[in-house]
Amino acid sequence: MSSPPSTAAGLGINCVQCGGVLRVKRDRALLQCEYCRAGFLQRSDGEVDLYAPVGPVDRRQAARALAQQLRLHGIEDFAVISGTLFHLPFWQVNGKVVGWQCYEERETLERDTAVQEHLAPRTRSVEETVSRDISLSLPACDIRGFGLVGVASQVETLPLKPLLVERLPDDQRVCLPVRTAEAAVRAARLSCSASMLPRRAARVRQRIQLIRTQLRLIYYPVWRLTYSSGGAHFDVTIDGVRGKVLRGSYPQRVRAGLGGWLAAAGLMGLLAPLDMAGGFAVWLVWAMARARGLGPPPAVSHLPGWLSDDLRPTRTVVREMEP
Amino acid sequence: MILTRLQCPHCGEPFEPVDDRRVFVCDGCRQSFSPSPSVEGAVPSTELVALERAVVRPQRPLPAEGKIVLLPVWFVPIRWDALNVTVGAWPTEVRLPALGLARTQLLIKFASHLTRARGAWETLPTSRLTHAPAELAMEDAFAVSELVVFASVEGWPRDEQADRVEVPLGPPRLLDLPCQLDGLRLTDLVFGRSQHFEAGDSLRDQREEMALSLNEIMS
Ligand SMILES: [Zn+2]
Repeated sequence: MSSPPSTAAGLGINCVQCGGVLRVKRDRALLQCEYCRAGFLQRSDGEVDLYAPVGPVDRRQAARALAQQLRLHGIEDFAVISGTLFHLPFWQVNGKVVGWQCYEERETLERDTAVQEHLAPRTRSVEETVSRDISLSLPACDIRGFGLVGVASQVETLPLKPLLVERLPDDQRVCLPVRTAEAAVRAARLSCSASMLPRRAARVRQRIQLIRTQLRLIYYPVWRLTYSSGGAHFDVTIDGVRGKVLRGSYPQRVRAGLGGWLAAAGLMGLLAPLDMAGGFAVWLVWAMARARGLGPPPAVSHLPGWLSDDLRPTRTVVREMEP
Repeated sequence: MILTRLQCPHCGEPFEPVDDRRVFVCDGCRQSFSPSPSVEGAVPSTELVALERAVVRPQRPLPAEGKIVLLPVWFVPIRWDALNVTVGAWPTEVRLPALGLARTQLLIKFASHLTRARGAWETLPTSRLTHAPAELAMEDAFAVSELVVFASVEGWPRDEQADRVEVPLGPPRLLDLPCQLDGLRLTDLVFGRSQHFEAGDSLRDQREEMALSLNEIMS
């Protein structure tokens, strides 16, 4: 029997009883106080809760990651001109998918016998119930410019804390979610409906229910640094949790394995549904940052040369096995 | 987000946050409590609400082997009259066990067996028996019942209806179904359906209490 990955991490919420830290159980709606053992059930009040990973790397650490990466390419002489910490929104949908479906499945035929060439492909009718635990993350705005696509596996294990937007310092920007909560749940449902069916299914009748759905916005921190080297300016984005370079440009042409990575992201449907408005939201924040005196745009080629492999788009799906 | 403290609203007895559990039973006052069903557009109450429960009367003699347990089951009426369909011998209520959410497919299979079973039932007037905590809250029961109806009724919904037909479900009731639990084999003593069942750990043996209750009614 499989169960969803356990979230040992807390949510930065304290026990109303004794002030102890509340831990999330395997069943994510349940919390238990580490100290007095009091149990709590969390439910949505209609408002979306915003969370962010605890303790993002600071600007100095981000600059150190950049220096490390540049050194790999033989660049020692550079200076960071400006840096902004962006908080990029991702919808995280957790829950259980339960469904009933009926379909016809075409049986695969061996093509090598002459006899079978004349036979119509046989189909079999299937009626079944399906169920899965889901945890998937969807970008809530167009974040392609940052070299980050999905964060499901990251936030699964990260300690989170509620994000208090009004308390962020001046050099930090929060990107607005453009994809609505309803659209995120709809996308999750669609993605589940499709993944429940075999590829050859035809004449599909399906009913899918999402139960115990939890929806939250996770703000993932990404530093955007502008640096100068050899008289030109370059931009680079750095994963604000792991302190690794995500993408950027630099004064030397490098080979990048970006094509395959983007293709994989596209196949998983994570890039396709992003709307143009998403790009606008990021642009808006970007423009605001620029107006506040961020450096000039990259002067030379803008090669998306570096991508952190760990941040591939991922979905955690635990499939229930029949005995 | 709202947090509901898991404790008895009457006597303050704390409830253990057991994974998947949504129906809690107080050791002190023996009442059952569950989070209030969420209504679209309304902020749910932070309080747990009391849940009425009753035990279904066994229709078969208590078997000598195994444990006699009470399985919490949601009984959800299906109001076929609200749809313009000929029901024939179709089931008129969904009987959905409220335990076993970790194996939802098995749970629906079990529910489908119970739902298809014929036979009238009545509740047992007794206060001796103890209700077990359960996993499915009323809103879970509602969502899953729809699928149980689809899985239990042959030939309905028709192709062109499958995507949009609303299953007309009535108000659910959480009842306790007396069963024999022999290892991992659960056999109910009302409809006589048997099923492989792995979620029986939280169900305690109530053979003695059940025998006494039945004797009281007889005399
Ligand atoms: Zn009580």
